[in-house]
Amino acid sequence: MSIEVRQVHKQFGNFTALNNINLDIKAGELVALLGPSGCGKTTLLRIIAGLETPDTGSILFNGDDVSRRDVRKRNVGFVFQHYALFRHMTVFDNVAFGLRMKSRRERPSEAVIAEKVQELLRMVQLDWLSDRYPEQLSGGQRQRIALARALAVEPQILLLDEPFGALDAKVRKELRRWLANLHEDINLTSVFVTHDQEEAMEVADRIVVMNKGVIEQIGTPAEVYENPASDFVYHFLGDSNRLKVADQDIQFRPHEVLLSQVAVTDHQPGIVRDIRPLGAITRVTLKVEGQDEPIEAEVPRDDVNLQGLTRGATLFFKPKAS
Amino acid sequence: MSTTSHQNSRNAPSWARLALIIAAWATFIVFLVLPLAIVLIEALKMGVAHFFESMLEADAISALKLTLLAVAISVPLNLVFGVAAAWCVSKHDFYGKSVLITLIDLPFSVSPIIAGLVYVLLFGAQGFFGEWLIEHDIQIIFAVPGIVLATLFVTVPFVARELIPLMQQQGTQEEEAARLLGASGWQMFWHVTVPNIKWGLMYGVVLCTARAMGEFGAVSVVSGHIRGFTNTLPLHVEILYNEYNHVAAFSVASLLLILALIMLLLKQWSESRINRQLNNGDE
Amino acid sequence: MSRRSSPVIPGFGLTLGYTLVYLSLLVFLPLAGMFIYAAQLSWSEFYAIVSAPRVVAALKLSFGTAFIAALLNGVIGTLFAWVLVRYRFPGRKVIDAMIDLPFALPTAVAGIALTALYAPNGFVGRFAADLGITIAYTPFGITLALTFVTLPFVVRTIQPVLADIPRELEEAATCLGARPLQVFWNILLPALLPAWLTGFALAFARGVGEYGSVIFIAGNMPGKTEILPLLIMVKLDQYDYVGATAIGVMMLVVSFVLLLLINLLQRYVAKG
Repeated sequence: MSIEVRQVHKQFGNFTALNNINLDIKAGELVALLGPSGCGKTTLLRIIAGLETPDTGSILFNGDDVSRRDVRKRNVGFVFQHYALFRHMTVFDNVAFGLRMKSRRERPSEAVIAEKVQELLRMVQLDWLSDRYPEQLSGGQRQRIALARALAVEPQILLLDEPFGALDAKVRKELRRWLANLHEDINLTSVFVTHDQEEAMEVADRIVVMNKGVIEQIGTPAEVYENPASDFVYHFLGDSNRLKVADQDIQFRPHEVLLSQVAVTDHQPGIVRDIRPLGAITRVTLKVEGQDEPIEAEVPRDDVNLQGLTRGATLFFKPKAS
Repeated sequence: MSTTSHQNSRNAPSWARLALIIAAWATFIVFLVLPLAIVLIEALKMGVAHFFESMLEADAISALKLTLLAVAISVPLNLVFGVAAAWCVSKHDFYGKSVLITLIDLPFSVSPIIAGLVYVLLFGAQGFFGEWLIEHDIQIIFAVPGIVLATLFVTVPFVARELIPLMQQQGTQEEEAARLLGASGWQMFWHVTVPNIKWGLMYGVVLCTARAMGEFGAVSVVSGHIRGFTNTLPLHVEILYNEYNHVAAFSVASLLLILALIMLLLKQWSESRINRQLNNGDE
Repeated sequence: MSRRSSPVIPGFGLTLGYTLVYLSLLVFLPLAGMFIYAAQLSWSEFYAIVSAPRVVAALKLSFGTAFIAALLNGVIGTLFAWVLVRYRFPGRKVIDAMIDLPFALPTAVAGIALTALYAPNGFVGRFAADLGITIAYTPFGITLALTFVTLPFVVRTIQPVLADIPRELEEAATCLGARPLQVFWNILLPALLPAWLTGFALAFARGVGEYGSVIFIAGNMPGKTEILPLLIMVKLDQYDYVGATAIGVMMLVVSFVLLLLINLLQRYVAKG
């Protein structure tokens, strides 16, 4: 199901959370709303879900205006940042909740419910936990149960609020891949909110970069990274260096640097302050004459210029782009 | 909670710790245990038979019935009020909310005598509605309705003030999740909200019941002390005591004491359940 | 976590409406009625009633004993809260559970029990009498009863705050060379003061209005051991509704002014 956001505006007192937002999401897409905290991304997600009403503007699902439609009738699956699992219910009852809330005419029999719940729990690989209570689960397990619960009512749209925010780094990586795979399998229109650019780049088909209540740029991960529409997007999507040349500032990313141990034309000297091996790449920090801000260069760990390099040595560098 | 070794390593001088613990125990015995003991001692002064005789005397039984009636009316009403008040205050935001929270507690800072007085001024013979009530032959003051009203007044805040912090802490996410999964308002309330607050509710009900059972001042003003008719248990204790029928007074008092101890046990139990629930809620 | 009202949480109008109607019918309108009733008095009539020597004596007695009882509770309550939170010792759970007894016990029962203990021929009073001290039927006895019924307030308001004070604070102070008493005065007391004042205010307000536990032990001598709530009772028994109302209004107003002052003091303290 496609989602259209039309001229949505939302104000909280004096604070403009969303300023005239327009956004099209195609059916089956996996879209990330990316931005710093307070940029309005969660508000936008809650408005799409129907948990919040926009002051003006409308939300369309498959071309139908759902702005006035009750949250129950929107058929949206929502995964909360802190999961909001019902703490007094078992995992099974949590997942079955949506099915049991249906009116008597639509409600499947308990046997059908049980079958469906088990199927979902198998899908999230947690069928062995069905009798546990949320408090007995790890963060990653809770996350997957919350997802199973949202999927149980067969939503047309899946919305996730900071789905990996509360997890530790390793579990977060695993779940990210798992979610991307799951999306490929069930191909449900999905929108997730995140403040982590790496997460957005890794999982999403398209990224919506937001700042201070407006959309800065919409595009595929490659587009927003290669052709940032604004300074904000450029800085938010990755580390960057700033180099003073004449009276101008040149900006470039740490991997966009050519290095040389000997003086070459166009290359500028810098004194090595720090050498950090970070796995596949190594980061070299350089102090440049005439500016306080250091320059960071990231090169493959087997780069020839790293051989025999020590702190205090002089290294010559040049931004690739310029 | 901190570990035992930590408890012992902290607050270095052990003599000070010992002194404080002994002081607390001594105060506890003099202040709380002695009054308890004296009630039972005085009640049993003339033997067990006499004790039961005083408790089962007709006026005592009718006082017990009236007390139970006041409890049976005021507790459910204040329960419904408490849930409604806590719901609008903790799950919604609106202008003047903190003022409302303060006003809910108002009956706690009003003397029970004044609580009784205001109803006498409304419904008593010289009161605002006095003449009208007499014309229509309705009696509120010096009758059961007055006792119920006075009890209601002094017990209004109990359930609400237990639920408000609990529900504020729980937030609205589980309710939102229930709505997104297709639950109607009432389904959400019964399946998600009520299970989450049931121990808090229980706690509030216990406190409310204890107070409703034992209220003296407010009820005293509106009762008229008509024996066997408008006498609650605490008022009956006063009458017996003023008639120098000490053994009977203490016998009835010990009945109230036992009820109070039961309430204390229930309170302790529901409190431990709330704590367990809250601890489980956070990660 | 955001606590904004969300349009999917229903029942706002219903519950707010019910809350306001219920509170108005049961509490606000009756209390307003008392003020309207008092308004039939002119200022001079009102002043004549509340400045009568018997009323003034009762006023001083009620507020004085309630104040001292609340102060006493400030000390005893802090002791209990401290011991219960900081130490593990035999019987801790029993004491913790029984602290609330004065709230659960009907005040009339507390009243006759304390009288039986502290009357000159009573269990404890006998020994005090030998020493020439009279407890019951004096302001001392009233203070004792008030201290008993308001005991849980200070304990229960301080307890959670004390438990939440991060122990790093004290450890940091100790590392900087503070002795235990210095830690208590400079670190713990300031942190506890707002809660302590809340407990004090609650105990004080309850003490001023308390009736049941006091009238048995007070002796109720006009001008000497007659408390304000009892004086209202006496006026009502004489069908002097106007007099009772005037005293009631004065008592409410004085209580609220004092509570407001405590509240302001508390804000001042909390700001540091």
